[in-house]
Amino acid sequence: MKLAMRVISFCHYLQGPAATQYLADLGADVIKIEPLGGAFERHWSGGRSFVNGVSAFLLSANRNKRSLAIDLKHPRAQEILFRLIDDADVIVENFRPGVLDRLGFGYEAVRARKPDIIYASATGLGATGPDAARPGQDLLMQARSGLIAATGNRDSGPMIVGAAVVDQHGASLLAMGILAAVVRRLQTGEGTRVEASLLQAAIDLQTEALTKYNARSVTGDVMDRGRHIGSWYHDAPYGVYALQDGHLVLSMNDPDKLAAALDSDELRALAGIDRYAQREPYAEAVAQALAGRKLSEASARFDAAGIWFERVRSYEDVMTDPQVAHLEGFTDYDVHGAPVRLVAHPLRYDGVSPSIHRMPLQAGCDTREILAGCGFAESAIDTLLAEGVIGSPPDAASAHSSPFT
Amino acid sequence: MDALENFTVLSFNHFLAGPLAAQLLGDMGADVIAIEPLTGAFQRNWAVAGHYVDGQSVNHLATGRNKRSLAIDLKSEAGKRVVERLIAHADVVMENFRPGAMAKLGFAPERLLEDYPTLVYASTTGFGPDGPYALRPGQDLLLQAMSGLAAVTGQADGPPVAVGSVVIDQHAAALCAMGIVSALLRRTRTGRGGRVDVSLLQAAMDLQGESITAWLNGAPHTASRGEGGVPTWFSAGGYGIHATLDGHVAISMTTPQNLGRAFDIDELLDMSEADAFAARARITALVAGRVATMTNAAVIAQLDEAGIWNTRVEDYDDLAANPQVQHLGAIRTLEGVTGAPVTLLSHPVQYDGVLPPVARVPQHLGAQTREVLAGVGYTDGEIDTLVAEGIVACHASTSANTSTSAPASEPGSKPGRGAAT
Repeated sequence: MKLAMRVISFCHYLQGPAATQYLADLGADVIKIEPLGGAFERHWSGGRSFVNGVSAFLLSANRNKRSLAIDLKHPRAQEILFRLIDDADVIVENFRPGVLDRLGFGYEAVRARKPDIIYASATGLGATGPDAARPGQDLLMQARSGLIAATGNRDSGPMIVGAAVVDQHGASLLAMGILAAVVRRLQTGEGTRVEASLLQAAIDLQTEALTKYNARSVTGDVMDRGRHIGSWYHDAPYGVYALQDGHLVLSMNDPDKLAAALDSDELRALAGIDRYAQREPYAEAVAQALAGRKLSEASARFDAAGIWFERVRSYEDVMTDPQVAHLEGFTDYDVHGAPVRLVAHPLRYDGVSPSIHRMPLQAGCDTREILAGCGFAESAIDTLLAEGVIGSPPDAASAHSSPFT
Repeated sequence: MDALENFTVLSFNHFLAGPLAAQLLGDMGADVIAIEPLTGAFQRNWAVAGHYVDGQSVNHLATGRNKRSLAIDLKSEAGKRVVERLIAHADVVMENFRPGAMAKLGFAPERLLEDYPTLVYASTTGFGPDGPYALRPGQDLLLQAMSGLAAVTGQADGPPVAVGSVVIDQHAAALCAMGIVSALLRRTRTGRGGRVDVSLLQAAMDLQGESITAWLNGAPHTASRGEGGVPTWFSAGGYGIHATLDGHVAISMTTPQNLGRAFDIDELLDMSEADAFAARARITALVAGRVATMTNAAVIAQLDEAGIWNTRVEDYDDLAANPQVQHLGAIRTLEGVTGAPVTLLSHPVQYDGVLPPVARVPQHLGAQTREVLAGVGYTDGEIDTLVAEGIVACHASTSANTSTSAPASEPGSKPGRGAAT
């Protein structure tokens, strides 16, 4: 997949960078615009994870991009960036509403200069509305959208989801919307203003659950459930069960098959009950039938009986999973001599997953190449560097091969 | 949003991820034709929690907007001939059967891509088209367990916890729609279609891209889940949700000093920024202890005062009442095909300031069989024969010579597509 388009990415944190990473994986020339000191994600990493000084947070969402470091507040920044924008198809930004307007790169300003621009904004809670100015961050939107309230059980209380799922899903929706707008422009010549919010991404992530909830005239009490039950709306045994040496999940399963697989008279006796209305006694009975067994023994029985189950696996297990290896779900990359392991682009196109062809390890490592590509002479670039308008690390010139120029 | 209005999508999808992906394409203007068995796709006939609205499964309501429905016996030779003609007129074929099922029906992707070189063929499977797990059941909860998502959710001193909604199916759907649109975009330039493969397994990993990347690249960790009350293995102190006297409040990223100022806790004021992670259990205990003695309103007021990002933990009832959700139009109640109101989520992205309309609420099985077949050249007589022979089925409301545009319930939404356009 090699989409011929240029994307200017005024993005930081996760949703925006992850969205433009999908586009970069698909072959778009994504230029990451960063402050001279580097974007937030270069200086912070969840779990304090850095590889040779490079943030794993950066590595998770910025491959296949070029980096341009520039002081957006400098009077000359407008002239430089509009030369880039003139050649661009898409602008993506995830500042809070109004910030880029004040810097001169808001939608109206760009559209006045380039009417067919596709201008995509990702905000926390939308560009307008009563809470538009509130911070939008994954955890907050998990809380705001009911995802935390819907996760966990009576013993645990509400639980947060242990990964930034709202950001990542929001990123995929934003990339999808941008690509659709590019299709539209090819047919109509018109640009599109694309707007996504983390709040709606969090809601979209729960489409099935929310549609059911809204159809039922129920209240939040329906979330109340015993310790094994995995969601408020599935029949038992759907959920998580402890064994002697680990945990497994049971999906939707035929109660007769499950009773036979575990050779349990108690489960046979319960096979005819309403496993939604009486899911707690049923789940407790399943838990008892499983407690004390080993994963290997239960797995063998379940495999033989065609039971839908899966062992709860750690990230280490995922790394050694033969199916993940078969799919090439991870990609190794060299960071200043240290190997890093990245989650690969999740899709295959004609059987092939997009590869990593570059990584902006330093803020501004492609500044020279990008500006040269839109006509700045070397001396002009030197002057801009000397005046502190743009940034380029000293060893940048040799840091990258240059497939785009 | 008319971006995809020139594209026809045949959706051989069932369950959730595939129908959701097709729905996203329908939202963006594609003519999505759901190809269903004569008895209806799985999601019409099954509803978790056993819930139906005026006879319509809530699973169908969650995935059925902006589609037409064609009911057909895919196993009959006559049915296969009809489908072949539909494919010849389509831009996209998408399916989420287990690997090999389409080939058994005579629609192997390799053959289709050879016969129709401009076709985009998209598969969503549990584990990819091949490999050691290719034939295993792929269902959201199983993938939560396999991908580490269940392992990283919950507390280290308790069991792993399943996420309380089917987030992997939903994310796979967005990725699938993204991949299909990319392939269409490539086709407009190269004239060539191609194949897009999505797996729930990789969607589950992608959904945790930040967390997995941090874990795999040297982030210190001793357990998959947070220890000592810390909500996740990667959180700094204070991050997470905390119980108050009357609910829970979520506290986002901040420093120990800010938390010390917000709650007047001296020990936190003495901590450095580096302690935020190193002393995370202690910080969390201090914050949780203080917050537990306060009301939601008081906690939020003090956090706001200190400039710390926070929000109340809300449930689905709060969400429907949330003024920002209402402002965005994220939840809409419309008149369904039976006349009973149905409440649906909106497409989550705005284009030129508007969310795509629900041009078509979820339809009855076979509601557009007649108009779809007429659209690829079948005469009324031929369609009547196919119906009489039980090859296709039409919903009772659609009789011969009537183009059915079922209720388009939103003012300003585009009219339903007529027959034979």
